[in-house]
Amino acid sequence: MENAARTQPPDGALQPREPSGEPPPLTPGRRRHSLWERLTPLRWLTPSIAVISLVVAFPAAYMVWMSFLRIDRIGQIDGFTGLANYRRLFAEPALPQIIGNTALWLVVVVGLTVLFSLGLAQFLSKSFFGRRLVRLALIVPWAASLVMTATVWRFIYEGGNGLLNRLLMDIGLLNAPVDWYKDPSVAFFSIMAVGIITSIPFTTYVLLAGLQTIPHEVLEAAKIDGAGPFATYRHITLPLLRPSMLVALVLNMLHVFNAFTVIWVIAGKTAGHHADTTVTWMYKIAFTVQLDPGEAAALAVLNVIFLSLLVAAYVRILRPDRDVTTAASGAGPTRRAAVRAAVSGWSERVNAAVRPAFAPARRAMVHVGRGWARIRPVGLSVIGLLISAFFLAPYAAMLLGSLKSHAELFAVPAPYLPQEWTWSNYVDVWERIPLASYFRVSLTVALVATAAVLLIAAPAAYILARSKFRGRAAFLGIVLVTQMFPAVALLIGLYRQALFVDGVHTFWFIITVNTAFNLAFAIWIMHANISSIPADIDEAAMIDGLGRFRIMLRMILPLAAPALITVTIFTFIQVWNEFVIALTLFNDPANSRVPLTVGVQQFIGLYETNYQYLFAAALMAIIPAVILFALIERRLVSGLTAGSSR
Amino acid sequence: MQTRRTPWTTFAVLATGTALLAAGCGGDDTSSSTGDGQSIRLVVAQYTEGTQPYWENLIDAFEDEHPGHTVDLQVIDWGNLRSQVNTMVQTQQLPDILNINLFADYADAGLLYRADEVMSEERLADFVPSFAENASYDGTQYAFPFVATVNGMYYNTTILDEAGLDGPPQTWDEFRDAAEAIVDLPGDYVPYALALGSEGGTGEFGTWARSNGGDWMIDGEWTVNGERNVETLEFLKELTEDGFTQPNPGQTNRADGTWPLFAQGRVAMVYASFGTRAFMEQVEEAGIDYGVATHPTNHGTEPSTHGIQDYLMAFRKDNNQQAVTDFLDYFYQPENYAEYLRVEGLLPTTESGADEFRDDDEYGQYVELLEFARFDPAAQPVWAELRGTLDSDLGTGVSSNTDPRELLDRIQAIAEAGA
Repeated sequence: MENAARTQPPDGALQPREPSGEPPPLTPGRRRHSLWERLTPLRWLTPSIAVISLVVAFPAAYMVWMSFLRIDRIGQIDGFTGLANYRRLFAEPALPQIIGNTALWLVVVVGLTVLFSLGLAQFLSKSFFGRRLVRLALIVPWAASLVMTATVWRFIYEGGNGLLNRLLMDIGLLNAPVDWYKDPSVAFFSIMAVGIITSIPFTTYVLLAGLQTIPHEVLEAAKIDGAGPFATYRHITLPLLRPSMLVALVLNMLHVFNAFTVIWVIAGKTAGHHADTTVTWMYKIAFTVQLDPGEAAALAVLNVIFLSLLVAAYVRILRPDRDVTTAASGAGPTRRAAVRAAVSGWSERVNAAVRPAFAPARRAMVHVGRGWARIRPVGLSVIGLLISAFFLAPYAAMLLGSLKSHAELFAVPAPYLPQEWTWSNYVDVWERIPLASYFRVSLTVALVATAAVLLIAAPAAYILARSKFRGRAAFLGIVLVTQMFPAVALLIGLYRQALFVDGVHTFWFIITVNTAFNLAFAIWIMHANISSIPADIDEAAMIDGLGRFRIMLRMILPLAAPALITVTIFTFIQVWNEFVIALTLFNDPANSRVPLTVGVQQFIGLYETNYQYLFAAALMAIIPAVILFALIERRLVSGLTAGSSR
Repeated sequence: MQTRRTPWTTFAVLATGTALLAAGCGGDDTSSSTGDGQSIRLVVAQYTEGTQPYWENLIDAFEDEHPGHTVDLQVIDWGNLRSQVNTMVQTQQLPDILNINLFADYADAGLLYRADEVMSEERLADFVPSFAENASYDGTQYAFPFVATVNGMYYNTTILDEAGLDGPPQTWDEFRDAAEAIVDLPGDYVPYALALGSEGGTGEFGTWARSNGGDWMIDGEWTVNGERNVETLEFLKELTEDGFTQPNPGQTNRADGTWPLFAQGRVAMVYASFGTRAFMEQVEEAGIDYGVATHPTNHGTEPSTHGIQDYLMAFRKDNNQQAVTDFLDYFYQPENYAEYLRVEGLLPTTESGADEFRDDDEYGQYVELLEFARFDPAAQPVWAELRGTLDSDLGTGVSSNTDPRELLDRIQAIAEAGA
């Protein structure tokens, strides 16, 4: 590893790896050339810098500005007020509880999500009958609108009429119904469970994409050298997975920290702060309780500062800019040696200390292992089936709910199946609201934004992975900041900006906004993935006379297929389900410019919520994402083989 | 190497530049607060699925009758209404006509037309006086009573019969006896389904408080932590602890909580909006034998119902007065107005509307109750904030580790600070 690290250029300008060792003397032409070379990263990053700064900078600055303004209950600005908003915020009696909740939420949800996702990704990287089903099943919770997922979980969590209680009582685990989301002593944990379940699919895919870039030979080598599965995992897989882990952890932290929907939909209308995190509390401060947008902005600013520190500390510890590729990019023999060293080091230690004590256990393990080997194909399929069932269950509940009558939805105990299967809901809903038009609009916005994200993020990710330049880590950090703003806090700034550029209710503006806010994830995921593709490929191609752009296009992007796919799906789903910004900025029924998420709100009345149609529409809205995924899923697998058979 | 402009600095420069540019130009854009006199923007709340179709039809008809006028409609669900309207105010994109559940802050800020500026005297006189008064700020009417609900108690006749009661309890003592009798029945009934969650908790508590001689405001003074109010919250807390309510009333709301329970015949008494379709449809579908009553009282207080009204209001902009006047006049034409009420299943706020519904089989009985309704102090600007806090926190008052008096003291402080 040490050896390989030394082959990297020293910190500084990008250095095209020239075949000759000595740098030629600097002539004027040469100097111009080298300036051009030095500006390469900037040129490659320009599109993303432009989009992000044009779209995000103003609303972000406006949010900060708002935190110093006195804004009255109806939103009128009463002038500059200095730090008064911050003082009021710190005087709130609920503050300590909210901070505690937020910390707990962050640690538990991110921790368990990553833990479960690691296992799941490992599982999905094995080949077994039905693997495709499991992958598809994971897409569903991801593709489903979070609002609808949370709504169906609220139904599942109901007390006397809840499905979970019915199930647990039927199998004898509970004697009396539990008020899963109402009882203040369990509510927050119930919501955490939903937070974890909804974060797992995305995390798993990021990790899976990472696993697939690990060359097969390495694992083979470890096997040949006698490493057990655990040793291989601990010493080979995990270290090689580090870039993806980092991405998964950071993105999860941001995602989970700003998770508004899940908590709000499930517990937003229950009294008290036992389930509030800073984001839901911010909404309460601005719009439902204190009615103080200035104080809410102050909280948003503190949120961003805290998140920045958290991510910075985190990045410092895990150091994404330390070149991880070196571990995998050395030539074959070196890699073997490294593996052997790692494996033998580990086994020696084990041999010395543990072997005598655990001999019987080892023998038992061997037996179990042999038994497992025999049933492995079936066993994996069965486990896969169970996992699929688990992730699909809420949507099965949604499907059944879409067919139940209102009375059945609230019946005690909850019936599993509807009495009458009113499939006509699925036909009627198209006539109740202009659903076809909503689909068209959402599809247009999501597809164009996804394409734009890929186009803009790919060069940025490539150059970030392939050249070392000052400000590289800073850039990676800065793009992440765009993910730290809670949407509700940016809304007013975005709206002002839209007014200024005459972009309210226009396609181009909502697409640009969605593109800008999704670049960060895309750049991070692709950067991590490209980093783990050996750089010798570029070098070889460069010697063959290919330009950088062609190298990226023809060599690297095909190899980064898993990441491209993850990004495509991720972006598509994010844009497809985006609600808060569209509601304000892209909501013009007169000109048929209403996206699906906004349109289905018509089924939510003051007292009457038409769950049948809501659920029906929500389920149908999952379909485009699942189709998209099914179409490119093959590439996900072939990306794997391309990576290993190179 | 040191002086090289890195992407990071470029980025910062770009970002700052854009921010300054946008901040400088995005400031006071008042163009949109000037109407062209022809087109107006209507922002309404979504009550039911029928809301949007109703307004679309009305606007079509209005535009046919008033050539040259156009109305842009925006229907927003209650969950997002407040944040959306705040965004409009802050970015100075005010609607011309707005439908929401409060008005005093807008009146106080001088954003609204006085009612008599955009409506004929004749039409204004048609509003039920108590409603018009509840739409007035500082003695001047600014808002237009839009729709109303009257809220009180529904009881399940079958359960009360089973418990050997011949009618709903009249006093708190009777209420407690009745609850004990009902709890002892074999049917696993809930004597009273209490909803103190943030959707309707303020309304329900206010109704109980008034039945105890308390209120939010008495004779112009805030009395959130008045003795009678404290006593009321303690009483509700006792009910909860004694198991006379469903579990966790502080986290329960009406439409997806207590109302379905009542419709399943599991609840003897519940607080509900009289005649509201969302409630009645389920109850009638399930064939529940029910009756309507006022809440039981204490200290010999006069029984009352709880009136809630939502408002329309017209924002003052250049050149929009005529168009706004025309549209309001068109909406409040008795047939258009009655049609709206039927679509939403809500009660009228005008005398002519009340007359229209008085003979209605279903609504007649509730219309009678309208005039005895008592209102929350919605004409006080601070009420918006107060209600937010009450909605969010009242429900914690019935949990075992909360002191009702302390809670109400804290909320009283907000009222006084804002007054």
